[in-house]
Amino acid sequence: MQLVQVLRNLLILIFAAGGALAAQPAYAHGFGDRYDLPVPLEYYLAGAVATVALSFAVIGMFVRGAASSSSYWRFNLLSNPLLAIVLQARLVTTLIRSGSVFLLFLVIATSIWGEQDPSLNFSPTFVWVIWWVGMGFLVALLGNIWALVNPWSIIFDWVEGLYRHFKPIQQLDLGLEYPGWLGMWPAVGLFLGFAWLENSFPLSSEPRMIAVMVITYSTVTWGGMFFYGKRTWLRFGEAFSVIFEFFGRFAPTEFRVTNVDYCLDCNSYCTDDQESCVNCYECWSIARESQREINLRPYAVGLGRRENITPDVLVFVIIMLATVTFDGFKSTPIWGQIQNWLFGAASPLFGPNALAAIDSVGLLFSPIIFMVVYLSFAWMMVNTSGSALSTTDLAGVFVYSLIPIALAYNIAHFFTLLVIVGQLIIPLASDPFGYGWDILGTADYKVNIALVNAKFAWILAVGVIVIGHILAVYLAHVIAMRSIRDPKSALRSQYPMLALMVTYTAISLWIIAQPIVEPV
Amino acid sequence: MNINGKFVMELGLVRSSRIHKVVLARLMTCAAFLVLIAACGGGEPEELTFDLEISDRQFNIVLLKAFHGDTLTLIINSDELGEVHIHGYDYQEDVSPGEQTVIIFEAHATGKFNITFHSVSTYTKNDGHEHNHDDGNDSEESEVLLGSLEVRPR
Repeated sequence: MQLVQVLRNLLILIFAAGGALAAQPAYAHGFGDRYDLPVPLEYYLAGAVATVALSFAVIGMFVRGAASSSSYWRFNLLSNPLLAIVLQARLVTTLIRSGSVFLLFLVIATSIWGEQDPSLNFSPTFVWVIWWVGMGFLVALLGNIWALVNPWSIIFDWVEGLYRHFKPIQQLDLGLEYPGWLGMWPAVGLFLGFAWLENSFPLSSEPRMIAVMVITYSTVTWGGMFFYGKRTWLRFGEAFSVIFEFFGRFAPTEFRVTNVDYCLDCNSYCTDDQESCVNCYECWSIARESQREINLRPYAVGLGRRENITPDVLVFVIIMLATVTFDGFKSTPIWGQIQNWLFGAASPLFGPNALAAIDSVGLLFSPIIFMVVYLSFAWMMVNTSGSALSTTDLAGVFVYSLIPIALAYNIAHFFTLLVIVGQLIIPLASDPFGYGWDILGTADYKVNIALVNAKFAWILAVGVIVIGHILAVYLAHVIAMRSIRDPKSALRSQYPMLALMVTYTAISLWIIAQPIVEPV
Repeated sequence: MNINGKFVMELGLVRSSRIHKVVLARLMTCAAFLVLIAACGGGEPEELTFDLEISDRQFNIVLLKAFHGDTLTLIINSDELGEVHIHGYDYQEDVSPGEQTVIIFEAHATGKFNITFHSVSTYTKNDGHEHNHDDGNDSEESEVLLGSLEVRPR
């Protein structure tokens, strides 16, 4: 009861800060309206059948002993002289980076001084649809461009450059030693906060709330960089660098430095099979040209990299998986029923914010449920394989293999939103403040709701989820072959894993087959 | 789990060429399944008329069902002055007691679109001016969900 009181007071404080304590249960209108039709039963069943059948097909391949090697196909784009010039052109990257900084300031300016109706203001659509959803798609499907365009990192670089102009060879940051025990926990906390804002905070698309969010996050980020150094904070504290780094491992491109000396120089987290380092952008940018590669590679292989996964990383990934699923689950009729059950209990405590409070509890509980389920399956894996690893170690070893299922679900869940609602950015680009401007001549653009046919969206959603599942099963097997040496034990370890993955995929399919219930 | 184990053990005993065939057969079954689904549907566009009554800020029909390409005629009678808004298609039409409002359009986009009612106090009818949301909260509150239009693909 004590805890409930504390939680309640905390929530009231937060809502009061938003000036929202006045009765306002409504979610923002005209913004983020979803028009998706649920996937019909036949598609759902076909997806489920394909999931199970193809899982067996993948296991069959491994019974034959195929693909146990951890090296994968790569093609160096820089081996083409023309591509090498384009991809490494200073001008191009400087333009893109400046554009990114401009957008950060535009978001801050519009959210403070623009019209406060979310549908007339640039910042809600840009932050929630174009940046958060769109960047996730881009990073997973193309490559980790967040590392290139991260505006907080760019601005820190610029300021540091300026500082060195006056005080050469000095660091801008204080260079405090980052406490080892802290690990990635700051990023875990910040990401959980962000997920809560996205999924449970009713005012998250109000421009002024966006201003508060962005300015707070910027302060924390620059503070972290200033105290501990930019590189350290990007790795342990900047939640979006962390999450997009995970997404980027799925991507079909990588930045590789073929001389491991560089990698040891900047940090040791990104070494791959002891001879090169992957996706250390800092190392890459200082490496000699002959030792740089920008490679094409198969999807998902980056998630199979050998490395030591600590509890903070495990928790971060589990929170990511759980919140992605909860995002969809919270608009299903079942969650609506749960809200109804809990409303009686929550209403006297939270008044008009009862629904938001129930959503908050759901959001916080879903990672706990995911973790408990995952650890029980990891325990089963330890037992079926007779592995010498502990349950938590084994859980760490395999956790990346679940990421393709979450990414696939994320794409299935958000595709229509990105393509339809994302179009709002076209008129907003001409009138970002909602003052009636028409800078680019696109202010009168009307959203084309017929751009995606529901049937196309259904096939895409089911197809992507099935493909994500196959990649996950495949990855888990590669990891098993590598970390549990004996092939028979490795195979046995995969039965619980397969059961878990089929369940997880089935839940994804089930959610997209549910009618979307949205409070109006 | 047991079934999985059994299946794999059987596979382990047979030669690899047969596994190829088994795998291929399974893949083809799945593919056939998907093609079958894609071929479903069809039929010609129709003309549909919905007689809608708004009483006490509620529709008499909560879910309007149509298929892609149908021509829809919505005849709306209301017991209250206000505005009906079909989201997505973005039609906003005034309604008032004793007057019939007719909206005719082609269902050119698939999806589920909410239809809401804005009471008259929430919007100012200054020509050309969007609603002023600055003082905002009351206008948010008085948007009421009447029902939804579901346009399914053929």
